[in-house]
Amino acid sequence: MEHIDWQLQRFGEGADRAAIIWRDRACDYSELTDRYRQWLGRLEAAGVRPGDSVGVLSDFSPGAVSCLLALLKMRCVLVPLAWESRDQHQAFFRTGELDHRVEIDDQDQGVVARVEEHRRNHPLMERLRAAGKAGLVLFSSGSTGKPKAILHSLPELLNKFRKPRHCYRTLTFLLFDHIGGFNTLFYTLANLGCVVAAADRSVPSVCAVIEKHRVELLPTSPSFLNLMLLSGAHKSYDLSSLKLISYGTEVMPERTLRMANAAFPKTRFLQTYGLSELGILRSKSESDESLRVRIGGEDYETRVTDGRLQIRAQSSMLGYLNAPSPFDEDGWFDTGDSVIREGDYYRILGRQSDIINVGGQKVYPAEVEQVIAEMNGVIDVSVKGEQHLLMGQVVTATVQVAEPVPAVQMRKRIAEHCRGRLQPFMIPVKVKVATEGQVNYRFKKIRR
Amino acid sequence: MQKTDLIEMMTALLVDALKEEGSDDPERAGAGAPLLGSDAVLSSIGLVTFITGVESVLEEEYEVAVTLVSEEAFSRRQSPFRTIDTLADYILELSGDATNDAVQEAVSE
Repeated sequence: MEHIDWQLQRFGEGADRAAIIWRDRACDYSELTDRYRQWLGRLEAAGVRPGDSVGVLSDFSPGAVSCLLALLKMRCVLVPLAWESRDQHQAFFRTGELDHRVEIDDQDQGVVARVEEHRRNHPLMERLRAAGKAGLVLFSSGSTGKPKAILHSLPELLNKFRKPRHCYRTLTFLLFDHIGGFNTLFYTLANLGCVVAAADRSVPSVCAVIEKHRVELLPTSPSFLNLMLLSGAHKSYDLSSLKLISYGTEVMPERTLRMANAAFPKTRFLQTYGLSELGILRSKSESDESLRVRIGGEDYETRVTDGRLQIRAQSSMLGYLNAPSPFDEDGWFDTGDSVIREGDYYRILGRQSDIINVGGQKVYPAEVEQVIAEMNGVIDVSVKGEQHLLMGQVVTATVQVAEPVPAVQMRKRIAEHCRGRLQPFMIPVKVKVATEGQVNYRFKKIRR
Repeated sequence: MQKTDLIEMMTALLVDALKEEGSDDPERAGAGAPLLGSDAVLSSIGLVTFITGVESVLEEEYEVAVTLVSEEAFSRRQSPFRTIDTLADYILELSGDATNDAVQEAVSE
């Protein structure tokens, strides 16, 4: 049985249970099924055909979820897109070989539009179509700063969800253009849980939603936990409904985990691990306080080579649409994460490469350097991450300039230049101006 | 280093930070403007940028090297990052000037 048919059968078993809470309104599984059927008709009427690549621009609304399910049924290639990455959408449309685009507005109303000029010849896409399978394209940043388009075959990716697991009322912290958000959605639907959409990812919004809708599972990042603990928001809201907090996307500082456990003594903590290329692995933390984690599950094998974690997955992506295959000849994927193996457990130390991780969002130095280097008067620039208690890491830049400028002013100029060209978290929060020592010294004297 | 100077300096930085975030209401950048919580005027990355900016100005203009976001700040019962006003007190305390100010006030009285 195809996943979607299995999934619809499940929906029938829990018809009157809430499936999604979006903007404080609950949509139950029977309404979700109705909307799914409406979408099937609408998509067909708009000329969407099996094998078509369809972009869906939306947040976690019932309309968007039912549209994704209809596209899955039609064996289309799903390309979920978030409003935040809007500047890059034109490039994403080309790489994802988009045939159609669905835009869902804040009233949860959708419009289907054909993408006129596009190519349709990528061998991996052709392979998927020939096999008659639905696909998924996710975009991540590439090491040169160019986002990589990751193509998954959906039947393989979704297969693991058929095994019954705990059912939770789950807050969606990440959107479904991210493997974490996509995973949360399909896990929750498969277990007839309820997806609760947060209006935004700020601490007060998330806490308010948890309190109001008695959220049980909060999948989040260490940075978010840090911000919540610092602001004391967990004391001003009733978060007693939380049964489980899962954390991933970046390395958890021991101190944060300790403080979080103290703040939520009745809540369990679980470390998760996953990659856009491979999906989310099953994981089990040694204990609530421990950073040691067992990862794997039926579909995954793990090993350590040169101190780095390598994974082989039955459900791994078919490949990148715009980069060479990263798999070795036996199908192993090098995660680039340094790990220590202790018995059955791994301890994840972090990326071995120079990727900067700002609150779980990846920043590739080259991408930021390219943008700053465009500025007049900038001779050279190097961007790196700096440890930060709140965000895990922040982006810092050292610029060599023709005319000396105070660092504070230079940062302002860089921020102005980067706005619109980079996402806010990629803009350096700290700038050092590198000139010759003498100039620097003179300069300081002038300012005093 | 006087508290009034610090507040003036940080207010100017907050106006900049608000502009950077596209806010057209720099009026919100007062000494009592909430930096944390549901009414916070900045996003989380905006707050980090603002705090780092304060550190940079302290270093450049006052030759005071302090790390504002620290375990010590976390462990306080009340966060020093609530407002510019509370942050100014925290900076004075960290830089050791709080005692000097108190002495000066005592002398001028």
